[in-house]
Amino acid sequence: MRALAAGLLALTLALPALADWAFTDAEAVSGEPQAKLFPHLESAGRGNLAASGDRLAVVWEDNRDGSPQVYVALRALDRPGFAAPLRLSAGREAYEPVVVGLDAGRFLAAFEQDGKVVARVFSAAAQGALTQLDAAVSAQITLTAIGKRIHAAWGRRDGRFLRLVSAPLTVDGLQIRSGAARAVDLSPAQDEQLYASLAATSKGYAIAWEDRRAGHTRLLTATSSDGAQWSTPQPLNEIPHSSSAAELGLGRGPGVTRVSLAGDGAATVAAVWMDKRDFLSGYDTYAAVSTDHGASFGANEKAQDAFGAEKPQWHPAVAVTPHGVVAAWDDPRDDTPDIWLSTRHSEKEWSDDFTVTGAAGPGSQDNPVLLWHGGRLHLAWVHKGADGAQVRYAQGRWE
Amino acid sequence: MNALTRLLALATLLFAAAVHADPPAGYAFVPYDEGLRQAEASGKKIFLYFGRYGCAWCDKTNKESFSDAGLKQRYSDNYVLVYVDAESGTRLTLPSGERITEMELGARLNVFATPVFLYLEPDGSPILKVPGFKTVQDFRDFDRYVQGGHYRKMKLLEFLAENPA
Repeated sequence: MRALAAGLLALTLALPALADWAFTDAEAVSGEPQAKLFPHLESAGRGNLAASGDRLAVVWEDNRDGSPQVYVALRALDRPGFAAPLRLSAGREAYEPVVVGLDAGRFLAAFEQDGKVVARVFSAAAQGALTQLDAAVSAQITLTAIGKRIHAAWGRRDGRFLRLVSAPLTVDGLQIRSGAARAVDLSPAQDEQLYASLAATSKGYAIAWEDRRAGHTRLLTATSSDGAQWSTPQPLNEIPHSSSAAELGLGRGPGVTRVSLAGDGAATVAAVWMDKRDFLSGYDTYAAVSTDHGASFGANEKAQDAFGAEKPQWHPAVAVTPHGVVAAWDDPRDDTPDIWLSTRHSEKEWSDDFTVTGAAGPGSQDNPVLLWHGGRLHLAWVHKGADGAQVRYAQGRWE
Repeated sequence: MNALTRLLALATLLFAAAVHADPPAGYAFVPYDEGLRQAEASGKKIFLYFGRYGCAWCDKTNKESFSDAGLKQRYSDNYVLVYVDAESGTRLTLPSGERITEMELGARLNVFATPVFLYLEPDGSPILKVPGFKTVQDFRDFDRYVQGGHYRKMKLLEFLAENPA
């Protein structure tokens, strides 16, 4: 028996350790919950988290000042505890903020304010002036930054429709300069182009968006070396050849919406989105990965496991890590919404779905956002309980 | 423009209209918060139609059910008609004062497929939710159940079993 035990111990020690994500305790980001206070972590591409220097920033919108406005909370990357929220917007109302890290603790946030997209540089110590990026009616801005390169894309009202445009940004101290905004797709505006997401690569930029010109919503992608001229749009979501609706001659495609991109800054770009090709159980979280800077994407992959199949998945976010692409979303498989995550170990191989302590359980946890930075997976979400709602955060490491 | 060109243009227009699955033509659908205001003022119940751009089953419902003149009259008389695009970023205000997008309203009401039809009290509280394609007779039955106040006493299926059309 002793020999058997010794043998099992030796075998156990010889096996490679099964690494997994380990998360810190959840922290409050947006202050204490209050009655009638409604924080929202929503933006084009779900870009509400960024890191710069030794700081992490979370941006969101809530109504603590009597109308929807945009706020940021900052935290040291290696120490728990967020500083008190700072207001970034200054108009009647503001929505859908995104943020990117610059350098030395400076950040660039952009959002919709009073019907136009604006941006502001900030740090823990100072805020620059609000800079209007488009004089036209505009919304749904998304940002990406890598090194000195910063690029923005947003929807500009063109007649009846939002049309996707993009522009390079430069930052000098706390000042922002915007280059010319050009249409991503040069063909005439015929219907909506919505909720874009950008990722910077070592060869330029990748972009994905919702496009309604085909009589239903498609997800399209394009790439650019300089952000001025974009490649011909390519379809991202696959359309099943057979469906009960198609057999009846109804409609042209399943529902797809809210695509988010993330990259590793080199050649890998991952996309996640909500996809209703299996419409009886609502949206599923689908993903596709590019290893050529966004020029082409691999086959569509369902990110969630079978235990989530009977429930709809909402609000997918994505991060590219050295340990695989990570997708996060919320779904109510345990009756109320919880944050669920899955790690892509290899092509079409996703882990079992897993939860994070504090981001699942009593109340509701939804609207996750993700960032991979500094060897940590940063996760924020909205918690709703009996006391009200609150943005929360946890940090994961692979161990 | 010759006759063939005109015919092709008309066919294109009709095809484009057929695949968009917007609210059915000829109905006075209004946005969600405008509908709540109208319902509060009038005391009418709300008929809330969750559609989706390009939604095949919404298109079928519009063409085969909402084209019925009697149904149109009945629903226009009995309800404040509200249409929500389940994937739209258009914002609305909830009775709590919270501003959310139309898509977020769908997430909170668990609108997992489209079309979904909700019948609401004038204050916005839910009475009945029915997903998927429905016939003219289905919509007449739901209307009898809701307008007659039967939902306060029994489930829909019990009502229909006891009160067939």
